[in-house]
Amino acid sequence: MERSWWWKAVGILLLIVVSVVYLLPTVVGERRLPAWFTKYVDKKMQLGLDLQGGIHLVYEVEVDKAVSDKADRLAADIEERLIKDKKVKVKITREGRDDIIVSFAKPSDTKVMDKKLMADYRANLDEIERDEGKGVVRLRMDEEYVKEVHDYALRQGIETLRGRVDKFGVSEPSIRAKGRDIVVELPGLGKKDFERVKRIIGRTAQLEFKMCDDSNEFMTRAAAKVPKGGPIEVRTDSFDGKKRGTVVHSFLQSKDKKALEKFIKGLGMPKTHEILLGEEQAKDEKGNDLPEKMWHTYFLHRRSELTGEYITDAEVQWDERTGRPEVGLTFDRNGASIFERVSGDHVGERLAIILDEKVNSAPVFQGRIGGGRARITLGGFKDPFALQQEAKDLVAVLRTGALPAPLRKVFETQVGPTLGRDAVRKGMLAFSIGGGMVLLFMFYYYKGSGFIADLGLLINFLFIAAILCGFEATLTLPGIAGLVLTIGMAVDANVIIYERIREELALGKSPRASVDAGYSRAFWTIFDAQLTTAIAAFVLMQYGSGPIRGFAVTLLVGIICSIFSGVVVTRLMMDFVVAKFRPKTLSI
Amino acid sequence: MARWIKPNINIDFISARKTFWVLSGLLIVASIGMLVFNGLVRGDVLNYSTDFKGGSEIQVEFSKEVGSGQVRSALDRSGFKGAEVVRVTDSSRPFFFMIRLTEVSAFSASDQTKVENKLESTFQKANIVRFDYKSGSDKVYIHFKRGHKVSPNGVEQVFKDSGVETQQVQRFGRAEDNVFEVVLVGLDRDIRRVFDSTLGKGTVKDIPQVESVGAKMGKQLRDDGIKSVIYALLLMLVYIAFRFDFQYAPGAVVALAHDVIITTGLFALTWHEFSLSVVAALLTIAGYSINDTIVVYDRIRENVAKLRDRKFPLVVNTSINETLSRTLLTSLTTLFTCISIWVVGTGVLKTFAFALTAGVLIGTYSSVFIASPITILLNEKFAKKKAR
Repeated sequence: MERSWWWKAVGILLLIVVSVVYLLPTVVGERRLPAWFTKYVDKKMQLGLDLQGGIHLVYEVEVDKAVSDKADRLAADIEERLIKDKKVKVKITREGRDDIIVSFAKPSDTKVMDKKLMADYRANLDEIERDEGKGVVRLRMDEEYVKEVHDYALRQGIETLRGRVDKFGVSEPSIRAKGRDIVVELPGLGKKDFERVKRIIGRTAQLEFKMCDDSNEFMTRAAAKVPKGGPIEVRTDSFDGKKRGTVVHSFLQSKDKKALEKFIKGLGMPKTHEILLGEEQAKDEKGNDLPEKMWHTYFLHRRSELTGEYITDAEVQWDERTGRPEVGLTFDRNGASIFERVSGDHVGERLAIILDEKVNSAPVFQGRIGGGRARITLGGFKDPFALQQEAKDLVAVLRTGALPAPLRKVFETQVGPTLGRDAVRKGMLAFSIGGGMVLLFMFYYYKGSGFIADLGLLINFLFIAAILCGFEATLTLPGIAGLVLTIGMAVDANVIIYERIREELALGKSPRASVDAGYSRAFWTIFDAQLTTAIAAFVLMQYGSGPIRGFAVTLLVGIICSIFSGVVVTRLMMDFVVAKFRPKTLSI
Repeated sequence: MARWIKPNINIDFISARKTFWVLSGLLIVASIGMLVFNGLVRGDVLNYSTDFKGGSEIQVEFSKEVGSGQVRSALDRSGFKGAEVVRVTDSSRPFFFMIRLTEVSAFSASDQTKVENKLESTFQKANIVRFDYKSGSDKVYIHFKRGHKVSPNGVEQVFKDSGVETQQVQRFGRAEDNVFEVVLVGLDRDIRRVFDSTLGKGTVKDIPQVESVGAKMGKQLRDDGIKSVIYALLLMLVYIAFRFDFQYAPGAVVALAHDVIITTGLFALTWHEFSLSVVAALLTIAGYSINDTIVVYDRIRENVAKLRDRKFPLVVNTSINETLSRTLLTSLTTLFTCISIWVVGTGVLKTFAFALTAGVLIGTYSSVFIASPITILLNEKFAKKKAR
């Protein structure tokens, strides 16, 4: 044998070994494999929603409703100010999504809507028309502002859904934005969970503010009870508590949210307090930030001081002094007075901002805050871009109270687990029957060479399966069909080559020369032919959703592996036969 | 040695080419005719699945024998008008039905009227600013007049009194806005209630699958489907024009458009459900059909160089014959797998395999009888131009 043959053979053997290694976690199961093994290879093929059961929801963020609601509210505010403060007779009507029309009973009153009054609405409204003769002013929602509402609504929707999905303990939840829509996929849920998921997921988020009780000894005592070496770690942190000096407090952090919740449950909480969790930068023992995020505990007074409905707006601002982003918050009249009292009573304490029972942030009150406007400075020494993202996320959370953008369900599929199991069984059956028939046929029609093609087909399937596992591809019902189809089409390469070899043999060439000619002439034909199917698969991957994408992926992977094993792997075996045994005739 | 096709076979495919063009032309006309016929008689050109049409598809397994008529009338009486009820044969589930509804939520138009009337009588019409419900949504928003005192429980009671089950009622936005958000129950829960109350408690054993698609989403999915077919065809055309001569591309594309149209026509004729996975099957057929065609074209190109003394039509005919064995064998192995899915599979998979099986057969036919002869037609045109 030539040296290059051996190199190729070693290469393919290596590929086979690697493929088997990658298949192990999926076939044998992670738990039965030693830890040193799963440390390096832990990727598994995922089953799609249609196979393992679960729920797939698509929500549309109703931006138009959010904008229209905001316009309604601004109209009501303006009406109240004009009638109560300016004491003029006025009628306010809304037109479409964006327009507010202010009509004064006495045209001369139009001038009370002066620059000073309008300055408060500068960010939200543009004056489109002013007719002092008739006493009519037309205002319209600012375009920039509408766009901003849209961006935040989407962010807010995703943030809310993420927080809620965390509660279901689904192993591979997926929440992503697709255009104006949010796609939620929760595989592996039982039937009983479906109603619960839909109830919790669909409703609009609740925003609350509660005071942290950091000087309480409770957490220090709780920290002493934490088992050493477990998933939960005890950390301390400190902040400037103003009059109270530096406040040092203990908290717990863990990657494992469930373990943390279980531990907290066993603590015996006083009725007046509660512990909620937030996802924060993990800290090392010295209190320095680590790159990963962990769940942190917050020890809180159970009573909520304020709820989101008192907030009229939230936005990202820039601190003029440091140039760092911060979050600006505006309260309505009631909210402003509550906030002034709370901030005055709790100077040097932390206020936890809680969305759907998850703590998002806990800034410290630096002093009494009056006037209904607050600023939240973000902690940590992150780069400006990360800080800006954080600020935007916080704004999205804060706006849930003031500017909730409701989510409207536009698509839903829920599949029970039994149906999926049935489908997998049937898919496998079809696969075995179809594959078996192809193997038998090839052996019958091409005898010895057919056997080589069959070996190639098995190796091909091994590669396909290993790639799907290695990339953690999702196997769907159409995906299984794609696999079965691939097996049928994969032998095409061999059929093209073998027919060619037969032709060459018929011309009187030797077996070796015929094999050479067959493979070299057939390659581009095979390549061109398979590439067109690959184009179809590629387009499907761009446009298909869920199950269809699964089909496209298996088809594409199948095509690549089929070309490789059809042209390279079987060639190697054929070469071995003709070079080693130098047969007079070829079994083909 | 097994050899079904003799190596020196020489069937005359070319002389009869016009006959096959007429045959295919007729098939295409019939397919389009069938689509039009369905559009006029059945109300829709194809039996679009819920993905495309919007609405809901619910699979219900009953615990005892019930007739389709019973199921339909039970739904009808409960306000789900025009439900489509199909019995599914499944060996492991004896009383299995698929129900398709035009509704996407349990809140029907008549429910809405009832609730609105009840709201007006409870809170006075003047106090209700707006009743916000978009069809298909799982939520209702009720805007009350500012300052009018309303509690979530009060709103919930109104729904209850109108016979509409709710999951949750909560305030929406700021308190002074006086807006309430009502989360409605899922369709599956409502369907279970309907059957339990009309056909006896415990009639519904299981609801293994529910799918509901809003009208807008359905349109988007349909548009995506059409777009994907067009893009795939265009990309393939570009590839062939690039790899081969431009005179080859039209033949290939005509052949695969032919395959896609006739397969779609079959769906129109058999009234099998036309879903997203059928579109995926159509694209695979396109890829497969062109795959067959390319193998023949490759041989034509090779032979044109080799057999310079022969006329082009003859070269084409030789090439078809030389590759005939391969064409048939590959179609056969592919058919093995498609048919095994067709036989074993149920539901979506069965329809999918049906499309593929039909497509492979039509694709094989078209690459031999349609695609290659078209190159002759174009070759004649090109040759004439050159001669001038």
